[in-house]
Amino acid sequence: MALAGYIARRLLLLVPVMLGVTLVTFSLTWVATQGDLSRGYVTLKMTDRQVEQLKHAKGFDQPFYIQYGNYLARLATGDLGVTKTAGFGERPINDVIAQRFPATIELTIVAMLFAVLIGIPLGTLSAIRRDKPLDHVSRIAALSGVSIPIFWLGLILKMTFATHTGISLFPLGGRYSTSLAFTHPVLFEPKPTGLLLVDTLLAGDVDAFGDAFLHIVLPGVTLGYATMAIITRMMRSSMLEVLRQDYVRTALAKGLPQRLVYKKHARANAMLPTVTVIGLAFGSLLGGAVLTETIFQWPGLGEWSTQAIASVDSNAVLSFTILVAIIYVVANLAVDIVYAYLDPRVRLG
Amino acid sequence: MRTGALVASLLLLALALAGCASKGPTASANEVVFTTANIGDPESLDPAYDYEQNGGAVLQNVYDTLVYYNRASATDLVPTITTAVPSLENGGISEDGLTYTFHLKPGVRFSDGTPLSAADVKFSFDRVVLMNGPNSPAWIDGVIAGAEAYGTTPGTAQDRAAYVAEGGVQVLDPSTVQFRLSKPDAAFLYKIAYTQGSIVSSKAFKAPHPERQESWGVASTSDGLPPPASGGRRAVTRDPWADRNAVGTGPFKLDRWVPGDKVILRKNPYYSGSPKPQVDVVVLQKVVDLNTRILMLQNKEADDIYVSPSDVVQVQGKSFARVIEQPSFVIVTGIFTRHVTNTQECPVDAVSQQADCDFFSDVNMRKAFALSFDYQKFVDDVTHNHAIQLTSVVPKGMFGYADLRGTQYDPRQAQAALQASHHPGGFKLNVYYNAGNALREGAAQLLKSGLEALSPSIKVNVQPLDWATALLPGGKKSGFAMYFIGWSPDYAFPDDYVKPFADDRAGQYAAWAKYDDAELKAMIDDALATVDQGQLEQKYAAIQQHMTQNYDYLYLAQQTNPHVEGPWVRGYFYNPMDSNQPLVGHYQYMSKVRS
Repeated sequence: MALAGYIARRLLLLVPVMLGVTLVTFSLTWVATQGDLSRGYVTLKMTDRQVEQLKHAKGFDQPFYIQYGNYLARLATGDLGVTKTAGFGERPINDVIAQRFPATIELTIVAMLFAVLIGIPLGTLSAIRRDKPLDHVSRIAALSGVSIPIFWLGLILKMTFATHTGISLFPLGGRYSTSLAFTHPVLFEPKPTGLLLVDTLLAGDVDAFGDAFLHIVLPGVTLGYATMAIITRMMRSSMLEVLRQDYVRTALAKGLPQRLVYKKHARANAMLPTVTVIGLAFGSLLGGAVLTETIFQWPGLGEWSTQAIASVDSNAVLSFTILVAIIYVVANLAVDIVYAYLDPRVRLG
Repeated sequence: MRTGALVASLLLLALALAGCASKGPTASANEVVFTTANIGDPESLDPAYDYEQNGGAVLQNVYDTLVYYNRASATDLVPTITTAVPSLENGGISEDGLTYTFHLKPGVRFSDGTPLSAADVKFSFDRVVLMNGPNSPAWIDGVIAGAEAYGTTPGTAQDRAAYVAEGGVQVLDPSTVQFRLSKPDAAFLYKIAYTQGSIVSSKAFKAPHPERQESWGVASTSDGLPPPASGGRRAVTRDPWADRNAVGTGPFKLDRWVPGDKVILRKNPYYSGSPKPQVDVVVLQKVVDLNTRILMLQNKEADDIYVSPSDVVQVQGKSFARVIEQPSFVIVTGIFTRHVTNTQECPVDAVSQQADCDFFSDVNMRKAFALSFDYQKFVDDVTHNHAIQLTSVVPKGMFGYADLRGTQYDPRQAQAALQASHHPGGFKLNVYYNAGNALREGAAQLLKSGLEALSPSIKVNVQPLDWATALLPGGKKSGFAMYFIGWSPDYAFPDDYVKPFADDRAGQYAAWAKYDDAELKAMIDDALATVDQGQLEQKYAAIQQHMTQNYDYLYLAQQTNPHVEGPWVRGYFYNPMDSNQPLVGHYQYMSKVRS
């Protein structure tokens, strides 16, 4: 019950956070457009009369507080408005998020899996074998991860693993092969989750699953590489600190098997700061997959938000920032809960 | 170790699946798929709304217009679903130039199998006029009787009835349709070749569609049109079903559109025109990253790709790419605002320090600017030869283009013009371009160096401005003295260039520039009312002569467009009027050599 109450309280905090986020974003958009949100809609060939018609129809001729109030009123009913930058004419943003968010979530999960599954063992082993060849390799990998720009890494991976001149193992981009989708329609319209890897498995379509899996490998590695590097470094330093603790030395002196000491005593304790990094990185990856999605033509939220910002599509920009704020709040909450689970000394509430 | 084993298993699984998936069944094994990798995605597929290149690329392949350009020619029109292009000779155009009659070819069917009739043509044109979207191409049909007047109304049922009563589009019999114009318009046939002239299936559009429920309140209406204005409620100007669906008579039909990702077209089995498509499937893929597009071409995963003129050097000379470059109808010009309304932006005299808001109303000043610009250097060094010099407001290759010599760089004459101007002692002014446009930035810098070389008292401040939030709204209010801008065509007729640049009644650049030349406007009206082709050419030549002699704009360049395709591709031709150029415009002509 204490946990449920804690979660409820934290979720209630979302309301003021949302208000703050919408106010700041709306104000910035207002300032950037000099108080004329119609500018994202006005085209070169429109006449003054058509511009006035458009402003009136969309309420862009109202003062700031009325436009913002109208936006909040709509938001309270769950209506995020419409966007003109997501195809299908002017389309409800709720539909666009429903279509694109699963693609971003799927990519983020794969990136996180890659980062965690490689980063934690690598950081652990690196600390255990400090100053040995494996440690040097791990540190170089970690350093390159935080130094290499995403767009360059993506390009190199594509040139190496996705071209006929390299190792043609993975596709260049997209979520699936169009030609395969004609005979495997689940690829065109993944249901019920929107996550291709899950929906193809639920449909029992192995070919489609294989295709989706191959498509997500390179963008997943590209997106997750920097996080993997951070996790490796964090895990290594945290582990080194724990290995110096008395209780670890005592456990080893007692004659406990080395592997057991590292796993049960050292790694579990070294995980705490790493969990914080993982939680925050998950939020950051979800909101920041823009470059990866663009490089790999991944039809997620990041790619759409870039276009929306460039087109002064105020509704879309507001919706994206709100979504990212929610993700961060929820990710922080999840970190706190996991923290309490990992460290019984931590009390929630 | 267990984690390590899991990672190793996943990698093995990836490798195993790579082997399996590449052997998996694909629909294209026996089908020819043509893939275009572009940087954008359609906004809509509704011909009554869509007014951009990516949507146009789909529309021109799934719909037919009554007449269209003859392959690579931007001057010759040919009949498509009609038996002939109306003319005075064949009686299709009346002597007074007010009536155009079209006879439909027999046996034409829509992609859903229903036969085409004159009622579909009337429905298609009336629909564009009556929906009258504020940022749609409906204005192009404004010359149809009653259309312009309807555009000024709120769009009530009565307003609609009044438009229909004008009889702008009439069905004479099931295969004959007649247009009545409010005034003679020599550009009319070219205007209806644009995508707003696409003929849609009235049956499909009148059928109930649940997508409409939310904005229309109903799934269908008896006339197939969105609800009119009524009781304080504004007229609905969109059809959410038509935004994402298409039923036309073109060589392809819409298979599916995955927004933000791709549009897939398939051969229309009912297509009766020629040539019949040789590719079965067309994929219009959105690929924003240039490197990925190039790698796709290299991998033969794309058959043609978009590469901007500044990036084309990356594929030139490569064995996997063929580059074909031709002049487009996209022009770049500098605008001289005759009267600046924002006093902060008025040029300042170097001697008196007085602001002169009518700085460019002085023809000698415009001449000094025009002659101090090094056009050849601009083409060579700024566009890297991806442009030709623009010699008048009408681009080369368009009907009515006057083969003028064009203004030449002449610092001596520029100095003389400066001395004859109102500011012989120099001046200070701001010159703007839209941020991120390297071509226009280069033009502004070149102008600055040319002018400042005339006198140390001339100071030109070059500044970028955001297009949507600053340059466009400021330009519309005549708020800047000088800035660079471009124009692309809607229809291949000089009227589409002359009007926006020289007729302030049209509400575009001429109005922004406060350019009010009564003599010129009379010449424009006279030309548009002329039906005889020979006379038309002479009249437009005279208009261009008049404009260049007065140095009314800084005519800079007509950009060229590089088309980049794989060497295995056959059938491409470049028509500057095709949507989506320099990519493939009409896929029915395309084929691929199997390697």
